[in-house]
Amino acid sequence: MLKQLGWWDDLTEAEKVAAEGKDWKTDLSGGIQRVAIKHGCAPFGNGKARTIVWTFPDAIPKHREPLYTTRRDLVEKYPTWDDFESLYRMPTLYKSIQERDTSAEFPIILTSGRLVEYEGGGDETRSNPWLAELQQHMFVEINPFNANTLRIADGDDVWVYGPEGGRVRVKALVTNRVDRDVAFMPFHFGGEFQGEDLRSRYPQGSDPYVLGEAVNTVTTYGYDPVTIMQETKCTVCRIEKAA
Amino acid sequence: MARMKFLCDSERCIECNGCVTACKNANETEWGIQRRRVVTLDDGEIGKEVSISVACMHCSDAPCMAVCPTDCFYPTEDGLILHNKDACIGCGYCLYACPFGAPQFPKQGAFGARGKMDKCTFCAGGPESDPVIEQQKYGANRLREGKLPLCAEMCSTKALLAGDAAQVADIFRERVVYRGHRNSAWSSVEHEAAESEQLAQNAADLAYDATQSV
Repeated sequence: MLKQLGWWDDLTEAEKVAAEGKDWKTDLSGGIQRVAIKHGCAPFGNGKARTIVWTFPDAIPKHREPLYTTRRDLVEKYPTWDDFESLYRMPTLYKSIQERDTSAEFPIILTSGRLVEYEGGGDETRSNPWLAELQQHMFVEINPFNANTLRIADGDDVWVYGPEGGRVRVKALVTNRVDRDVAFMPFHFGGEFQGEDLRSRYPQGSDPYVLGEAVNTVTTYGYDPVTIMQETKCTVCRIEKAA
Repeated sequence: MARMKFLCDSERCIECNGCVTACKNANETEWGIQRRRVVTLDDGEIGKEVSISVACMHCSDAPCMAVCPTDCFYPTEDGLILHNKDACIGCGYCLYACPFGAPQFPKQGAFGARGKMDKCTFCAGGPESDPVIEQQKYGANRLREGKLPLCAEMCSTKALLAGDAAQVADIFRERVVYRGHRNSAWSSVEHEAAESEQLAQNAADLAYDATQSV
């Protein structure tokens, strides 16, 4: 496509090598995207959203740095909204949370997500012996670089601390699946709380085969101003080896 | 005569563990008995990560059969390697002999002593005439019903193929031919042109080997 448009030579030599036979989705060098944007095109075609929603806090979506971030330089460039006194009748905090600098104490970005064999909160999945057997421990994915610095080996018990005081005791999974600055935890576990096993509190016969710490013990405050969807995907954490 | 084989296409396997769950579903094996597993190499390494589903490969010249002191293994006319749990003494020789880690042993009794060996039967049951007892001891006998193993039937990307070796090889060979192009829709892992040719040849050889019996 770039060749047809005559933009191929805008790529650097290194980008050309990476972009040969690729399109904007598969070119990992980002060269195709860069050149397309330079020519005023959206890399994925020109069907981009042109709508302006004047009732939204941002009429056109733009990047705002998360409330908890490790990149303080981006806070100045992309600040969040001021606190809302009433957002759907609820006072909702933005700036006053972001102003607190947690980056020294909590240097790793924490995100949460899904495991392929799991469903939702995981209670059904963990109650099914065939599926529960596949993943028997709540875990945190840590990049080998970070794990080495923190002296954590694969399978070690670690404490993950969140900036609002929560902490969870989970197994370390040392893997390149996550980047150096990022840790990942699945959101399918429950039944343990800050190192305490709560199995005895389940009604008799209803406890799942596998219990684990819930990731949202360490995730933090934050709401989308349009949908009031809670922020579970982007926070920061500190990881320590458990004694 | 048909010769039954499994073939897992590592370019297609997405590590969903659907085959593992399907196996548990069909055979109702207990916790800790993994007749089928998914192994992932170079997890998280871009361009290198590859997954493959492994169970008993029903070898033409099975090492487990060679080492078993009680001769509990027997080949069927479909080329499968099945075993007789009544003869098994749980010695574990087959576990050491098997290159695929197929034999599984339940921990029974004091000191974690091994129970009777359990492994993939290609959903072909075992040496029992009573279907109820066969189901309890060996799991499903889907082959008798004219069905293939549930793991392969339920594979969402059709990475795991099961059936007559010649047919499986034909399907796989056809895929290899279509994949010949770089960045074709099939391939998740990128290879250099020369390397890609070699891999295609290896895959074609593998498909050919699968059709050969001893």
